[in-house]
Amino acid sequence: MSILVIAEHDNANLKGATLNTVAAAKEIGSDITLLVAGSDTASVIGEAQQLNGITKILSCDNDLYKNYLAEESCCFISF
Amino acid sequence: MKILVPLKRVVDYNVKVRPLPDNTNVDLNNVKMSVNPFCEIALEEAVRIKEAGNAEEVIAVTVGKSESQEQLRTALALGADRAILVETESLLEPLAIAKVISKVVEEEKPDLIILGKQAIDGDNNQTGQMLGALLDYPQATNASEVLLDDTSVTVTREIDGGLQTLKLNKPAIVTTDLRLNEPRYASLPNIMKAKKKELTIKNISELGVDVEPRTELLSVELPPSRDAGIIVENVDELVDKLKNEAKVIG
Repeated sequence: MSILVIAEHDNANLKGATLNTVAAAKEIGSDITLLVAGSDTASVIGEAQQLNGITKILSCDNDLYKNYLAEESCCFISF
Repeated sequence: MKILVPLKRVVDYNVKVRPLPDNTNVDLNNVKMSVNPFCEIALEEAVRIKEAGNAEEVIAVTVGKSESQEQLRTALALGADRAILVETESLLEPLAIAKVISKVVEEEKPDLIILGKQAIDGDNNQTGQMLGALLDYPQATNASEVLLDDTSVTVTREIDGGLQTLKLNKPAIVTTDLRLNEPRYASLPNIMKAKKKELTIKNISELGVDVEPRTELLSVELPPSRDAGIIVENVDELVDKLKNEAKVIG
């Protein structure tokens, strides 16, 4: 089963909750994609690449996503 | 300006709930029911906005059994101008509730929708957000302050480690946190007056929404009971227990 995990971060570091979520996803399946949406997220991507068990990382880097507003994020997640 | 306040009938917060003997759901037989406390805060905020002269009408709406009229009468006594009950016998999930409320929004066209952030029975914290997505309205959840001007609403939100302030264009959705206000009690004259206010009842089938459940409730259980603590005789015994029983030190 393929699983999409949406990373929580502050545009600099991944937040701990993302690790919990990835661990939970690993319990369910093995095909895990991590979505990092934000602005200037290079360091977050770097941290995400260190995580075990992730198949793919999707990056969506734009000023629009700087403040993690649900209105902006849900549009492209459902897209 | 018109404000819509969706609210929910839930088990009163003072009641100690227990599961049914077969663990299929919470036992609701002969249990006191009330307006969900977060919804009361939402209603209080709407009524205060109206009292400050910034709104003309406050409408309370609920989706539920016929008995939910009691909670709508309470809302009318607390200051709502009229109420709408969308009647259904089944227990709906947040998505279905949000769909039903979006239909009510299409009919009533409110400028502001204020909801409780979550109900104390399901603790889902979903309906407001889902309503925002269905209507494509901006939303501010967990509000601790709401300020209005002609075209927008400025909301202070309680988030992890601080406060966030958002400005939304109307029509908008706000969900309330505990610190937004302290709801009033209904006065006896207002309770009497509430009986004469308009309460419209619609059947859910009139709205033509798909309310099929997407999830299945498997079981409801009490949290495991915790064993009593023990008193140790001396430090050596404490260290021994920490090492060999709790295994928190090496």
